[in-house]
Amino acid sequence: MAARETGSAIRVWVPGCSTGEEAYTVAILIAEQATLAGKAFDVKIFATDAREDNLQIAREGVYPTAAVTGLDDTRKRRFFDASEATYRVKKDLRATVVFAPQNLLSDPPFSHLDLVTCRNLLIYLEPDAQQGIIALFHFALEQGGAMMLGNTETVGRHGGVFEALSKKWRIYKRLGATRLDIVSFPVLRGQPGRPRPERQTAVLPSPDQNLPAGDLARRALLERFAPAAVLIDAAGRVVYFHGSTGAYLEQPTGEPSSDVFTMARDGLVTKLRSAVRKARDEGGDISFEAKLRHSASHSPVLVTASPLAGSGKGHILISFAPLGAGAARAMPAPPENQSQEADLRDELATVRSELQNTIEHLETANEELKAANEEATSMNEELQSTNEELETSKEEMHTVNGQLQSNVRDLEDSTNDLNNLLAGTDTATLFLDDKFCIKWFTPGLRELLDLLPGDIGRPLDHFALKFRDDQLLTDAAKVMRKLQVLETEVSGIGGRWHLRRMLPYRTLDNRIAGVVITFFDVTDARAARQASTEARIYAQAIVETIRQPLLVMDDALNLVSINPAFESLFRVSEAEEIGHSVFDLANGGWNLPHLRDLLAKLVLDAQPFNDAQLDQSFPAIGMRHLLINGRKLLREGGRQSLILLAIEDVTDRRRAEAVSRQLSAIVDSSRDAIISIDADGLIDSWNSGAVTIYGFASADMIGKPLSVLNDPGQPDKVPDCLAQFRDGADTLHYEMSRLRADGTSVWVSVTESPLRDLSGALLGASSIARDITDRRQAEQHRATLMNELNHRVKNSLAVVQAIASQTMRGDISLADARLAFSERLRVLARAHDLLVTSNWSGTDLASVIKATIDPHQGGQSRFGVCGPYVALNPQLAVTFCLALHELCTNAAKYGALSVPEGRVDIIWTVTGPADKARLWWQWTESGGPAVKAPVRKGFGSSLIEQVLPMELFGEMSVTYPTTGVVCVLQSPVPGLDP
Amino acid sequence: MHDNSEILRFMILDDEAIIALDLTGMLQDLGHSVVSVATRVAGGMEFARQGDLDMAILDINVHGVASFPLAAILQDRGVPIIFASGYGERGLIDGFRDALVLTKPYGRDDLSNVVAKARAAAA
Repeated sequence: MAARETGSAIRVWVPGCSTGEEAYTVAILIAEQATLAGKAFDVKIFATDAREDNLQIAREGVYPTAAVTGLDDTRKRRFFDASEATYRVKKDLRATVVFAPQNLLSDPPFSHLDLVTCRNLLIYLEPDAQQGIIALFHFALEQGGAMMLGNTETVGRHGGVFEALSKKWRIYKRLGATRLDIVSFPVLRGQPGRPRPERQTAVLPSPDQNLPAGDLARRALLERFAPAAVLIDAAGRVVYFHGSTGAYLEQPTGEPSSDVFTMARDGLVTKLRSAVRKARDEGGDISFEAKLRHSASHSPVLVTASPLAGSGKGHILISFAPLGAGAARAMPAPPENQSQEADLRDELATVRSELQNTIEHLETANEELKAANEEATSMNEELQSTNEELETSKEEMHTVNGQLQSNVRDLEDSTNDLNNLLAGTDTATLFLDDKFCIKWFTPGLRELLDLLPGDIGRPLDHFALKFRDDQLLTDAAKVMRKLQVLETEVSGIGGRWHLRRMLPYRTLDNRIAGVVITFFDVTDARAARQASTEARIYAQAIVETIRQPLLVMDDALNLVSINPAFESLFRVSEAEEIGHSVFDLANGGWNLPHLRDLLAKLVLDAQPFNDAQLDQSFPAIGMRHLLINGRKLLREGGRQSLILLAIEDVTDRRRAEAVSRQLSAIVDSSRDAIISIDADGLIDSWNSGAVTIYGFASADMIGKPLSVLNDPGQPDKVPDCLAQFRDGADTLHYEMSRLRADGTSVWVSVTESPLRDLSGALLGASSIARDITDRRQAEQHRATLMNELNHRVKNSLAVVQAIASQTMRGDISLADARLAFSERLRVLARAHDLLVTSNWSGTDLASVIKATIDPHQGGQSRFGVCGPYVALNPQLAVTFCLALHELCTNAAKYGALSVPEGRVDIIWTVTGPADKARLWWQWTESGGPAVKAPVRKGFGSSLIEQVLPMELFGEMSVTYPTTGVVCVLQSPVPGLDP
Repeated sequence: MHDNSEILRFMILDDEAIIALDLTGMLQDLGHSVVSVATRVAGGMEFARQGDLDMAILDINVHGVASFPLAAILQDRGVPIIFASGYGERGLIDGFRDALVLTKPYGRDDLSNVVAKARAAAA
């Protein structure tokens, strides 16, 4: 390129271009080098590929961003039009590259190329094919042209015709002349519909029917009188036949020939050849006689070769005149034998001379042929080369044509697309030329302007607008003048609003040819905008008035705004805090790990949180329990997102809840039934104490009237506490019986208090009841005990009275009676003592006997006591004591105990089955004075013989043998009443 | 004291044999006879139903058993009844609210008066 002059052509071939990257790369490099050199070249880059779909992509020249990442920005800007995700090769660069379908293996190559780049294509081919293509490139390249191959490809065995310019980059330079021997030139494909032109044959004069009469006469004379003749040219080819030459000339087997020597019949050839030569050499008529051997009659003929001097082209007329009998007669007739020998000799001489001539002629001809052959070969080569160039040119033409057709198709597509786009979209678009005449409009415009297709070309101000727009033409003029886009909203019919966008109409050559006006219906957008504004005002008002503190931060957690509730709760002012980090707020009171974590997640992952607890002591306001909700507000248009925190101060609620929980715990843990009722008397709450006392579950009682607890057996009327509270009563207290779940009654002590609101209105009442069943039972028990005690005391007094009365009966001295009575009372007291120690539950026989006889032992062992355990109830114990006492007293007075050596044995047994056991008890005195039955029986005897057996439901027998008194008692075992 | 010489036949029901013995003595002193002494309600039922008697003196609580069933039998038979009890009139139940009661302890005059009242009431 350094050596080339401006305006010269640079031809490059990129075979196997695939989707065109390589071709464009070469184009870019050439363009850059041209710019560096300050020259302009006619660059032609032929990029070929066998696949049409690849070529289609290549022609478009649109590549994804990834494909151009290797290019620096300068190149991207200079050679590409960037759109969203793609880069398109600029049009001027695309124009230098011609994409065409070509099969390297079968189609003719391009020629006169300066550069062939064929990288990484050969590696896909067989070695033979590779070599063929290398040879093809050699042919295609201009002398000294360069070829670039892929990293792993070489010129192989054609090293001799290429010189390596760069081994590393596989760049080679063509050496030497065109070598057709190494090119296996592809045969041109047959092109259907394009027949190859017919080869033009020699032009022969055609007989003309409309000849003048003289000519016709001459032709007739010729035909009648002139001998048969042929006109030959310098090469010996027949150019005209006259008359019947069939007797002399004949077409031999094989291809038709016009060579007169080939056609001459046997016996004529050699003579004719020498005659023609002689005639040409000598310039005069040469005649000879010949005999034709083609028929039985060896008829002689006179042949004359006459050069036509006037023709100047070496034409010779050969005429054939048959020699008839006359002629033969005219000739001297030699003797038969002699004449035959002479004939033969003559013919031999002629033949020899002919042979000599022929040999000479052949040598000459041979040399001529050699020269001609060389000439033909060289011509052929030239023709071949020319032919190839023609093919290449044709291929180029074909390629260019294909590309042009493709461009036309693209243009048609674009036009269709554009038409469909404009017609299909509702966008009202109006094109005006620089005189503000209507150039074109879309159907969508009809809503705004009554235009018909025929209105194109008319000035816009001839039409009435259907929308209010006084500035339309003024604005159009402004746009034309200032070349800037102008947007205005205009109101149309039916309250619709349109965005009128006006921009200059630029042609490709950046000329301003008018304005383009588009109208967008923005009624909805406008309404949405208004709604949005209203929503913003609404939201603002909410934020300002809401009682929940709100805090808005940016991504970096710096405060953007706080609302009045926030200011008042934390005693900060928005003006002072805006822009500072949230963690600096309230002297770092918000700088908590937990909150940091939540905010980090919120900022990074947009993960919202709800009711995050923050318990923190703030310097200005003290301990606070806060619940925080956090949201990330993602904003459209890539604007920085906002972080919103909504805070709820639940400090007071927590306290109230704590108090409430304590109270609730107290109520729950109380053993008293604590019930609340509403103003209608229905149960509101029912604690576990109520469940325990009344037996009803809470769920069964909520909502029911308190009267379900009324005991039908309750004599007193249940007071209506609500009525009394409404009348101003304060606290009521009473005891009552209430009904339990199991139907039994429970005595409760009830305290009912009114529940009033701050204004004093009655909300309901509380009823606290304590189970007093135990207390009442204790009271009843005590009453029972008192009653029982009274009964016992009275009974005891009755017994004492009976003892006194009985003791006094009969003729007994007062002194004796007093003594006896006091002793009986003492026994009675001792029996009571015995019973008191056993808690008045009874005692046993042995204990009773021991207690009674002790005072009568007199310090000696005078009693023998023996018997099993027999239980005695209190009454029997007392009776046994009294009876035993009487026996002891009698024994001491009259019996065994009245003397020191006397003794008493008390023995008893229990016999029989358990349910019918019987007691056998015996008192036996011995060692005393002789006894006899007493004359008089007093109370003592009654106690022994009547009272004791009566109470035991048995019999007592008292006998008086002289040895001493014997008493035998037989009865059921005590406790087994008959 | 013997203002009425008619001899009455008494039934006595008292679990305290001493008291029964004393009461028997007192009734005999008053000129009456005691035809049956029972210390248990069950033991006295047979006589209450079929015995010949003019009047009965019944303890109310007899060894833990109330004597009212026996009293009811006697009442049905038209036999005047006198309850003798430490409970006094408070020990009575419905049906016997108007019965004569001797409150223990009682003396011979008390007995005499109540027997007289019983006779008057029965007359």
